Amino acid sequence: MKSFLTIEQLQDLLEKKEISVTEIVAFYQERLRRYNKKLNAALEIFDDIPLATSNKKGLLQGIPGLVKDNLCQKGRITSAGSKMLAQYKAPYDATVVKRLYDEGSIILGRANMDEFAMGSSGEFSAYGPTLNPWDLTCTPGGSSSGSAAAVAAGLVPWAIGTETGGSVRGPASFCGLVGLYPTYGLIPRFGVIAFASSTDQVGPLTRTVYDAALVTSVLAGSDSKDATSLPEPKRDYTRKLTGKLPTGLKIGILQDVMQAEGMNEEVRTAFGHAVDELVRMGASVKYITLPNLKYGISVYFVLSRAEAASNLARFDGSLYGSCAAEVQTLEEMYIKTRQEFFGNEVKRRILLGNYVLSAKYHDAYYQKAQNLRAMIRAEFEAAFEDVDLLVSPTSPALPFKLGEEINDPLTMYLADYFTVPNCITGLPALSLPCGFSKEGLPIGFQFMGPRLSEELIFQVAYAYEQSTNHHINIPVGFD
Amino acid sequence: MIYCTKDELLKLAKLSSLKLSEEEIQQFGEQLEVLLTYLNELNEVRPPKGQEGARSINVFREDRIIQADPTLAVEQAPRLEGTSIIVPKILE
Repeated sequence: MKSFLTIEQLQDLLEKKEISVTEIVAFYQERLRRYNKKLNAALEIFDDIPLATSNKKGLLQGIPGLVKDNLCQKGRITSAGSKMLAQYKAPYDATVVKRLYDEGSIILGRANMDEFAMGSSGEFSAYGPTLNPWDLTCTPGGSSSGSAAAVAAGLVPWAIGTETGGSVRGPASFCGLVGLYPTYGLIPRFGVIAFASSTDQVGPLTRTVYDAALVTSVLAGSDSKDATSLPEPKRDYTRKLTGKLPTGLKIGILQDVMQAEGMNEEVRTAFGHAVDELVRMGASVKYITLPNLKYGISVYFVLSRAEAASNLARFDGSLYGSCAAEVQTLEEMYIKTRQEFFGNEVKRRILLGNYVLSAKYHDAYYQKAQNLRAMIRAEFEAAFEDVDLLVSPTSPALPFKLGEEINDPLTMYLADYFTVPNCITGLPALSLPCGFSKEGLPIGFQFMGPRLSEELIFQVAYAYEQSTNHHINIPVGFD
Repeated sequence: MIYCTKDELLKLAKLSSLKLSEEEIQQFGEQLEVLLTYLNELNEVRPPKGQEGARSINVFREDRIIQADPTLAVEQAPRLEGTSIIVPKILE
């Protein structure tokens, strides 16, 4: 069996009975075991897969994948990439995990990630960084680092990530994959270990747009266990993948993109070619200015850190396994446990979160950020009266070298410049490949759409993908 | 440090139930200062009157009483007695 097959190709082989589910599972398990040491993409490769589930009929019948380790899998360690949850076994399945099983897929293990999803490179995992299959000296992006690296290296055909500020689309861009940030509330968060509850979303990472649409069909839909879940029915997101753009498609290019300082020139060029291709395919383009977009990073910093400080307050040594030894008082238990079992990035974010929430600074930072969030969202909504979709590069940078940004948090945070606006406004966006740098590093760009426009986004992205061939490339060294 | 003095950082650490080492105080202090300097740009913006505040709605449902075994929720506590979590003394 060839490596790097898509879900669509695997399902075709299954249907023609050229291959069995057992063979597919064995094939990918072997690849994971063979290459995981090189990449550190998986924190655990399960050796007790219940193959009975593989006979379940469903959209993903027989197709194995990986799940990011902040999604609860019942009875499995769910560590969120942290020592704080090193022994924590999830008492239930996340809704999305249950949906994956119900549709016949097989989860082969837990994907590595930045600790509590706080990071853009995978380097903040308490279990060691994941490497980028395209260049082992580079990061695969984060925080869904393991999910992206595993799919990019053909170790699984799909993986699930989560995104709070760019953690699915960033790795998708750095690893030459397709990654979706869905409309907030479309994919349920029940069973996702929370970082910033008002932006956290689950998203698929796949090799192709069709595959991403298929996985989204499995994950999406209302859930009574998630109060922020939208009352959306199950949908087939592969329905409109005609290969053609809708007639009269109007695309907006964010003006800020072209003027952004610090944007890598190769990224700018590849993005320009993608726009040219869309025009050639029949879209009309215009420049759109969103005057307050530039405050997106600051808004995201403030809101996400505030929510993180609140969400992570529960980790105090009393409930989740990890607890500091030799503590005399309750206060000591809290302090010593958090000091010992949280990594530096987590501590930084909690401190900043409590700073912006404290009485003295609440109005200046937190309230201001909430105001700006509403203003930026209104600007997007106004833009979507004028154009159908917006485009931009996914990241202003090429994949960073390991160790390059880790002591310079601000630079690493600015890499999320183009992804945070969707996260703070809850609007959907899809990243897909648009080219490679001279040194063979993937470059991604993204389509952003109005609320619940995933079908349109998939349609347009699919048409672009089919008329280019970036998705056919594979990294060297993973035969 | 303009935005966050050492004193403020120590207070923040206490609020966060963290105890920072001297090295962490130095490192985090500097990093926080860089971040807070960047965040200062938020002061450039004045939301138009009447547009303050993000729009959001509360989603409620009726309370439902169900039978549930509390063991599932507490069994991973490091110290347990029945379904009660044991913690060190709270009051002096």
